[in-house]
Amino acid sequence: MAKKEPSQNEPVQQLGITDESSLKNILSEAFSGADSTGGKDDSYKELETAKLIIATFLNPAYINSTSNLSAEEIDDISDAYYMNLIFDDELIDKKITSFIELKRSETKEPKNLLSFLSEIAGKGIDANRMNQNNGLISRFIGNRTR
Amino acid sequence: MDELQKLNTVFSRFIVIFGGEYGRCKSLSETALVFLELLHTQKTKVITNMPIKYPVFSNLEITPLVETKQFDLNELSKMKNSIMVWDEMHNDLFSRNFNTEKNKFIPNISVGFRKDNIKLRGSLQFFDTLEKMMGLMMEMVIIPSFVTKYSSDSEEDRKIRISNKDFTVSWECTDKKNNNERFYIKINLYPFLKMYNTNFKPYTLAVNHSEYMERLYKNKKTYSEEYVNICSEKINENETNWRGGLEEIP
Repeated sequence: MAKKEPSQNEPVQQLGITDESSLKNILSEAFSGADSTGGKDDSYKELETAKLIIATFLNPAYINSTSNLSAEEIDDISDAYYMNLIFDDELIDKKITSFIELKRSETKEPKNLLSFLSEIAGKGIDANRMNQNNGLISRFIGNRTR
Repeated sequence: MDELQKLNTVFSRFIVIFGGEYGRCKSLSETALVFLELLHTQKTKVITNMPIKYPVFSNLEITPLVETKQFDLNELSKMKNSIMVWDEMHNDLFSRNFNTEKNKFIPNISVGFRKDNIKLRGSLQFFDTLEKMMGLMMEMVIIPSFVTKYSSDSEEDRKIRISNKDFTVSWECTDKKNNNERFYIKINLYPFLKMYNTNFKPYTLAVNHSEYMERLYKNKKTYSEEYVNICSEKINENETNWRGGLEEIP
């Protein structure tokens, strides 16, 4: 019977660890703050925005109200909310809230809550937006890799 | 995706490039990535043009990358199941050399690396300076950015960073293989600082891959014999530089 050839993925010799406690220290130090702050990916942002808007609309005070927010306005509110996480200005939060409330008072083509939520749920992650290389990425990637 | 899933995605890509200008911790990020990858994949071979020291690992074979002959397909077979670290790779893969014999070893990367299961982890500053074919082959781009800024003065910032043991960066990963999906990995690079030499200058590789040498022999037979000597001097110089850099790592 022919001898079995070692698979490409099987290392010939095993990697050894000389000092396990040092290794543990390195790893715990490297990932000590991994879950607290730092970058959030786009899908996470979208989800958080959706949760925020849903939470606002599910407030009993507004449950029977209507919304006239257009898709662009929802995007703007979402952007403003995330920018304000950095700038932390109360006035912007108030402006967002009052803008949403003002919009509710409009009666032209009113949307009910259900259609609004289904719009958010159906929106998902905008693939085109994610594919746009903007800012840092486009500066470094340039045209080479497209 | 949790951090491990994200890292697994990075490990699974054959060509991963760190990008960005000076002081973004590209080389340090490479050092950390290879460390984690070795640990995860249990690979035991690293070939690198910058000296790296991993005292935590034993049975690890680290070979200097000094000449383009190392990219010949028969040479790559000797490096099966390894990780290649190629710092400042635009020095050797400059975009303006794209049509010359000097860059003719690049197609070997697309063939040999996958067949021999060699993973390439490189770094460069601007992607437009990179050879076009290499740019098209890269599967993932990672741009590291510091999470906290301590000072606008780079020197001052570095001093505070070291005293605070905070080299926390966010790796902005663009997965070109998966429709440019983007995700972030947050990692403190401080524990990896002593594993590489920040002042090391990688010299350009000696150009002696088989296609280049054959062409040279056909066109300039007398010079090609002289070139062999020039090349071996260059290889010695590169190796001395590499070993000198390794000795400087504490």
